[in-house]
Amino acid sequence: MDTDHRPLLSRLPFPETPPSLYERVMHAIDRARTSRLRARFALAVSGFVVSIGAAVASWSAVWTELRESSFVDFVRLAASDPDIVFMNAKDLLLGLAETIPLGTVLLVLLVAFCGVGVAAFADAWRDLRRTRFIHYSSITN
Amino acid sequence: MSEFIKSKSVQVLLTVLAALILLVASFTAGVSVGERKARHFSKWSENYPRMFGTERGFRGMTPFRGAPDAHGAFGKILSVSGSDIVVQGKDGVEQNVLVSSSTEIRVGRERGGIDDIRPGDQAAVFGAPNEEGQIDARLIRLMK
Repeated sequence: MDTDHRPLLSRLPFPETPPSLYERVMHAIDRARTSRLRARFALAVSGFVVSIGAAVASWSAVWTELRESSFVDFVRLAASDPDIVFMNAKDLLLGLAETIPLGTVLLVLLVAFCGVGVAAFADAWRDLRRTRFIHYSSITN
Repeated sequence: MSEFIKSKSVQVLLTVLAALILLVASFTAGVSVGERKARHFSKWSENYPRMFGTERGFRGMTPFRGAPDAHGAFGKILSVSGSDIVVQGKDGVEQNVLVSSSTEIRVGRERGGIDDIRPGDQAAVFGAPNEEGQIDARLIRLMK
């Protein structure tokens, strides 16, 4: 059975949004973004600390690998005498590929990756705090 | 068409494909380099007594210090005998290098000959491994 509710609804007061709803929604968004950023930042920092720890712990192995590898000498030679590269590019490239100190390269890449992650998330966090400050200033002023 | 390429899912797909291509390419390159190095190591180990006149340590076994590089050597020249040169790499591994008439020998940036190569010199050798576990030198660059 269809009932006409219009007379009833017309007597009700016009619905108003709660005065602090906007602030509460913005605050919830802000809180969610902050906690997500904090988790990522913590992950990046712990990755950075672990990779630095691994680099320090395996320092003697890394140093031995670097000392015994001819990679750096080949690169230095190719940079100082480019004729050699043009004369024998294939063997030079294969020689370089065979002598890459992979453990050291992997460790350096890991430290760099986590370091860049820390810097990027720290920057994002600073950005978030700044926009939050601007937002609250605009509300209070 | 441009909207299709700009769409988020296509960009994710392209990134994943590029990462996969890079991964597979570097893996294939690594396997290929490892295979060459292993083949050279096998021949080098077989011919070690003949090349250097001695067994490798106790019954030909020494602690594994890494395989010799197949396409190049950088280190000190231990001996020169005719067209045979023994180079000790920075990792302590000896390599037997064969010099032929087509080998380019450089003393610094100048052209040189086999007479310029003396024991104790530092040299960079580039070449290809042969079936005897030696390196057929294409270029020898003396660091003088």
